[in-house]
Formats: sequence, C-alpha cells, structure tokens
Amino acid sequence: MYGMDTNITELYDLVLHIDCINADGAVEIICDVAKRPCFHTTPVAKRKLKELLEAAKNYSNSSASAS
Amino acid sequence: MGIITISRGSYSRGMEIAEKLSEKLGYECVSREVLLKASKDFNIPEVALTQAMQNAPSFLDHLKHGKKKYIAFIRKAFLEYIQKDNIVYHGMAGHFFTTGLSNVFKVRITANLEYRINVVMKRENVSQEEARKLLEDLDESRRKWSMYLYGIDTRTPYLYDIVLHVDCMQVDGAVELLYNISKYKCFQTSPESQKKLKDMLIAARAYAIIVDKFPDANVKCKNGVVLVSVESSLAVEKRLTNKFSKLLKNIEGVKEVKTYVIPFET
Repeated sequence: MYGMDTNITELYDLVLHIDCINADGAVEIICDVAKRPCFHTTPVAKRKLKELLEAAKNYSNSSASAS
Repeated sequence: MGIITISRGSYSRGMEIAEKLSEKLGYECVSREVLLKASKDFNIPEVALTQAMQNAPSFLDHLKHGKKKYIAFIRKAFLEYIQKDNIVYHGMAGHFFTTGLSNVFKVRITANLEYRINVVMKRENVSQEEARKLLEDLDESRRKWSMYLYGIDTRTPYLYDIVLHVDCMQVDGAVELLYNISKYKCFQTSPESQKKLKDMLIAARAYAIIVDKFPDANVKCKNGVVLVSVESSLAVEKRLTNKFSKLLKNIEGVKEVKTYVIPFET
C-alpha cells in the first residue's frame, strides 16, 4: 500500500519493546511523550488535519461515483 | 547501576544525547575508548578497527574474514569495558554485542531524512544533494555491515528496547525520557546479569584467541564452562580438543573447555 516496510523505525516517533518495559511501563512512557509540546494539537495542525479529511472525502466520493 | 547502549543513525544527534545522558546519570560515556583499548590489546592500528566498524565488507573480507577478526577484538574490548558498569556506550554494534543481556538498556536514536540532511548541510557545509547522497551512502554501508556480520538490518526495531525519533522530541526531551526509563528495575544490574556478562566476556576472550584460525567457530560459556563448536573432520577431533583446551584454559574464570566437532558435510 505505501511502499514501505512497517518494521522500519523511521516511520514512528517512538518504538517500544515491551518484553522488559512491560505494558504499564509502556503506558507511562507513551503518556510522558504525548505530553511533550511538540505533540500538542495546534491551530496549524488542526487546519492540516481538516485539509487531509477533505482530501480523503473527495477521494472516496470520486471513487464511489466511478464504480 | 546500569549499562546503556545507544545506536545512532548517522547525523541523528545521538552522540549529543549520549553525552548529556551520561552526565545526568553520572555514568561514564564511552565510544572511541573501546576501539583504543582493542587497538592497544591486539596491537592493531585504530584506523583499521575503525574501518572494520564502519565500512561495508569488501570481497576480501568474505574470503579472509578480516573484518570478523577485528570485530571479535572490538567485542572483547567492549565487554571488558562495560563490565565496569555505569556506562553509556554510543556507537556501532553495542546492541549486537549485548544481545542476550536483558538488563542492558538498548536505545536507537533516529531522525527523518530531511532533518538529517539539514544537520549534514550545517555541519559539513555541503549542498542539499550532496548531503542526501552522503547519508544514503552511509546508511547503505551500515546496512551491509550489519547484514554481513549479524544478518540483521540495524534499523530493525526488535534489536532495541526503545527507538526514539529525535526530530520532534529534540535532544533534551530525549535525554529526559531516557533518564527516566533507565531507572526502571529491569534495566538495573543484578548479580545474575553480572554472572551472565562474565560468561559472555569469557566466550568473547576465547573467540578472540582462536578467530584467526577458526573464524567460523561458535564459542559459548556457561558458569565458566567454555564450549567451542567447530566444523571439521572427525579425524582431528582429539587434536582440536587438546588444542582448544591448551589455548583457552588459562583465561580468567574458565573452569573447563569442551569441544564439539561438527563433521564436514560429505
């Protein structure tokens, strides 16, 4: 679908191995990271998401009318 | 008490993170020191060891096992170094050298290509295209290196406890997060983990002694008992058993040397 292997770490901000860290540890780490300013929703991010949604809607509508 | 290995994509600011993290933890920060130790112990120029760690294997490496030999020396020096504990190691192969030691906190620092290109352009004063080419070559060389020696691409996430993308989190954010995780109980040194590391070091020392003549030998150690598995003719089994015993019995901590000969396929 995307021409990339999902195992390639470059796709993610964070990859965790839960063998040692465990589920509770993983939750703690993800919550910690999620609170970082760079992951906060901003007006720019909201606008970008809205544009993506519009593009996705247009694409699905055009696909539906073509079939 | 603990050991942290940081594998870093080139130009991903991993060195900065390692240095700041070691300072915050009060641990020793180690990288080139391992090569210097191996260079001194085996009387090999540091540049030759650096090339063994950085460059993709050449055609000659496949024939002469030169790279394998140097990596064996570096691995021995690395394990001797981390035995001191309270270490942050940054550089290549730390995650490979500590495979099986679950208390070692294995970290990979990465960044997206555009971010790295900008870092290269600033540091090396080159154009965007030159920076892109440099990174592509470096990445490919490292991929070939790890595939040749360990059969795994260093970008594979299963090798690490955590992979951090530094683009968004930035250096200080990554340091803070790694500091917190390094305090987890599972990453603390224990008597069991020290025993395991000691056995691993014995095996590494043993392999470094025989690698020149037996590059394909598999050396393991458990509770001081060394097992050398080597492919050879059964006719020379006794000779090999005596040879390995003589060569390896004086390594510190060795209680016994066992040899397992795997007969050549006919």
